[in-house]
Amino acid sequence: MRTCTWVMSMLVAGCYAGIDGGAGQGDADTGESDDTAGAGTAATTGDDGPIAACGETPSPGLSPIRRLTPFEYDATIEDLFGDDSHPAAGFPQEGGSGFDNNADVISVSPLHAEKYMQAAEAVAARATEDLAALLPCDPASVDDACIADWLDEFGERVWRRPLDATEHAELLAFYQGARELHGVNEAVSLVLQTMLQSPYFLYRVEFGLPSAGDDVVRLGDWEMATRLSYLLWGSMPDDTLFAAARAGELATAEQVEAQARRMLEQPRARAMLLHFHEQWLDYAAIDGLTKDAEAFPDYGPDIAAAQRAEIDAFIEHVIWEDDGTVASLLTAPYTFVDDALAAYYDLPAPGGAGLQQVTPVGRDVAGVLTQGAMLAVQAKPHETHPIARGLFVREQLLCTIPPPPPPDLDIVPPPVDPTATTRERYEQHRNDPACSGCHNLMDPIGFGLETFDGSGRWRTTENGLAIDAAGELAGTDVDGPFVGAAELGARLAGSQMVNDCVSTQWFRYGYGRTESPEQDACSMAQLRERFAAGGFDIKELLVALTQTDAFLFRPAVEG
Amino acid sequence: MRRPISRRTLLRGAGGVAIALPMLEAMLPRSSHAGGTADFPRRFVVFFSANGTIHERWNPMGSANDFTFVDPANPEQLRILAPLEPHKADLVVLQNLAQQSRSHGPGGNGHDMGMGHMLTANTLVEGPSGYAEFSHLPDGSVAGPSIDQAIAEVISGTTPYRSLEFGVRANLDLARQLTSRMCYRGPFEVLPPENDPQAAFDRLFADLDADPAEIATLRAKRKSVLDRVGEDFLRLEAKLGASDRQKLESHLDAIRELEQSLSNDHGLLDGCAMPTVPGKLDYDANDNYPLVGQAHMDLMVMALACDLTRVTSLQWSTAQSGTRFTWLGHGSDHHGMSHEADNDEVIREQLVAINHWYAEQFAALITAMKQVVEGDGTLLDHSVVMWCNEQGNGDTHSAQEIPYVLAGSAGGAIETGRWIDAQGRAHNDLYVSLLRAFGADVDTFGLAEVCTGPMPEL
Repeated sequence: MRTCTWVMSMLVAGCYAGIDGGAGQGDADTGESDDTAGAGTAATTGDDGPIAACGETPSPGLSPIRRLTPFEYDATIEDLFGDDSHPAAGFPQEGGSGFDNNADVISVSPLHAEKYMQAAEAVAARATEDLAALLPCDPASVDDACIADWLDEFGERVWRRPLDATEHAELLAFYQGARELHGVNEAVSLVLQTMLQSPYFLYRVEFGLPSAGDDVVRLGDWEMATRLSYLLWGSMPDDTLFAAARAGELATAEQVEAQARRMLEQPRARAMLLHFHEQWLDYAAIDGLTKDAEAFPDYGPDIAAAQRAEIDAFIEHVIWEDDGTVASLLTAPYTFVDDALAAYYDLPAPGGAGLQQVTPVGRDVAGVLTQGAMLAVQAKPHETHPIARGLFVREQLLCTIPPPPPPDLDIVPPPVDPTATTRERYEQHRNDPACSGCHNLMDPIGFGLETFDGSGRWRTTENGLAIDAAGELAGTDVDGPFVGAAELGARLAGSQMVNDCVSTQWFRYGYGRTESPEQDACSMAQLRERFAAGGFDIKELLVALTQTDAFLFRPAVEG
Repeated sequence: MRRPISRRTLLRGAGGVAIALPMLEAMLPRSSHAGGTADFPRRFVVFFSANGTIHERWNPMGSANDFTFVDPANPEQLRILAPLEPHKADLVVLQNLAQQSRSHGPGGNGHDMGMGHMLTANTLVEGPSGYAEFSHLPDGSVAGPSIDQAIAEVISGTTPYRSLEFGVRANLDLARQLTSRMCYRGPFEVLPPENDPQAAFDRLFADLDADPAEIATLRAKRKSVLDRVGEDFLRLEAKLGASDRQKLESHLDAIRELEQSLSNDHGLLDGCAMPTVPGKLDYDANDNYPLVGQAHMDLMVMALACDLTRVTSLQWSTAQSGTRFTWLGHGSDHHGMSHEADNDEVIREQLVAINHWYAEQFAALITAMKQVVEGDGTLLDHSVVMWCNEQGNGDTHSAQEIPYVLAGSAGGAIETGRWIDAQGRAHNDLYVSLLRAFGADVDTFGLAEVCTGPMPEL
């Protein structure tokens, strides 16, 4: 069996080469980006000039067809029918590149087709229980004219565009055939089932506007309405957006921006924001999380559920009530607890019903970095996991991915030692120069969070020994030693790499694909420029996502 | 507790509805007019558990044809395969296969690689972004189909389902999707498992006693809807660019399979019985892991016995499994422990116990398959059940010394009761042998350049 020393030179070289060449971080680690004040980025030429990465003609990158995710399916069904039964709850899990909507990775299996059929049947059955609410006429006297009107109105909402004459005629004929056999109610149900299993419902179909031979086209108004609604709401367009599409008022970047700003005020935007954050910050595993009962006897399902509520409330507050910046996400000194969670964290009971905002004193608090859910997920069942916590910061917040341990490397984690702290055990392990080359990039970040145990509780000692929360950032634009979570959060809050990484993560989620360093250089630069100009307010980044080449244009459909 | 379905035949409504009709002369169970075993279909089952094994406690003792899983000198010692001792005559214990394909193609992370190569025996492929981060292929996939799908192509016939995938907390890791999926039709065509036993039951066996006339109507309605939907797909496909068209085509294929399963009436085999209703169960709860597995295995056996499918798989968790074996008294998680076994005797024993527990589950599966009588033999006799792992050693993520156990002879095509040291041979060769056992005329599977031909021992 090989051991650490076998690969020493290769691993260290690989690690440093890796960090220098890591994608998604721009050139923030060249040592020239010490200025992180936020006035523009390395990708821009200056305050007001054109973006260097953008050429004469738009460069939208790839635009793979997108299928509704389970999250989007449920939200869309709710908006269409007022049906909040979450019919997609049992759909197969899918995704890639960190997000559930990666259009390049997800594919339809026979299991999907069957789930889509079952969901459509269940939704249609509920929707046709009350035909009066569904149809634009008296259900006692449904005639073909009524159904034709309904297809015009409701069909447009289900397929997010007007039905063309052929489609309209086919659906009407389908209805008539079904009515002969099964009666009105069931025929309406079957029409709905058809529409809900159609590619025009399940996919976001785009052709762009006809153009004279260009490779790049603008989006049609209906297509743009759908792009906007799924980006910012994870659901279908509302009446206002449909009206704008009908009126041809989604043609310019300014019109799109105005809609985006309006849409961010709506409740659906909140749900979408949380859905993004639980994927980006990788905390979905808090649901149902269990811990080693011996190490954490008081940690149970109630605490895990409270920690989920805590982080959701925290993120919502930062984005919607506080200044919405990445810096606040990483440094805010407050959190949200109820009496039970406060007791678990050994904080004073806030009183009142439900979660209350509290600002703990005498301990580090650093935004999401010290959220219980984050710390409990990025931990082992029985203790902390400094490597996992450090790796989380590198991968999710800095978008730099250290290489894996080489094949056949004998990984020897430090044995349990009740007379030492976790940090002491890992430091000993890290003394091996073969491992430390890469682990210096991860472990010292995690050490800075050692004042929080494996279940998210503040602590000052471990095994009777004082916690040493000294850490160090390396291979970033904010390198250097720090002590504790608050200093780590403050350091990361000043990092251009972190802000760029947030842009990158939103690009991946917003556009359902991994960025291409070449084709998407312009859109990435546009995002970063606007994000900086908006003071790194995440709401401004969301608006910026609607203003890039990748969003306003698409490649023409090849013949 | 299974309820026999006597004098009935199964008529699927599909998608949650399968019904029993009073037996008609035309729908006599096939076995009623077949005395031997020749008429029974051949089946293939995959059983996956993660994170490698502890070899010196897994290896049999004795010789190739006369071996034991219990150490005669130390009978008290917990040995991993001991639960399979009563089944030795039906097994092929395969030691020392290697995922040689892992030395080829993109990817670096041992869990990504191990899981992606395990059933495909092929390289990974990068995603369209060309953005293969050091460790993972964030939008990548596998280069070819998994062995279960290749075998399904040969043996599935006109069964309602070409294959059925079951998972026990086989949850997707969004950032490392390759670590959490194992069955593929081809690149970017993943077959996700069903984790919910009740949903699987509803899909396969519900409404067994529904009114035949109602089911016939339901089938007709579904067919009319799917036909209409299919026309939308065809018309749209024609207008799309190549890669989008491919996605829609694959979706339409899935719909066509669903339609086919609506149309296929088939006779019941003698062993077909109503499985236990799993009931609503928090199937994602760590501590329900054994219960969920048991429920799935019950459904799998009956899906095979009723000939709803001939190929099925059970994915216990994922590569990098975070399962906590609390029912064995363990506090830590499987993956974490797999990296601590080399210098911690207690954890090493716990890993032996975990793998021993999986051997008990494997034994329970083949016991259940033996209880299904088919002609002169049993369901197991007509099957091959393959227990596989994505690593040789969980600590080093080793592609060497991968442990495999086969049960069943595929109707006599494979000589069982043997222990084979594959001496580092590519696992591709095992899959070639299996494909041949199931009647395919092939010389390679997966990455051709590492294939050396079928295993002579098989």
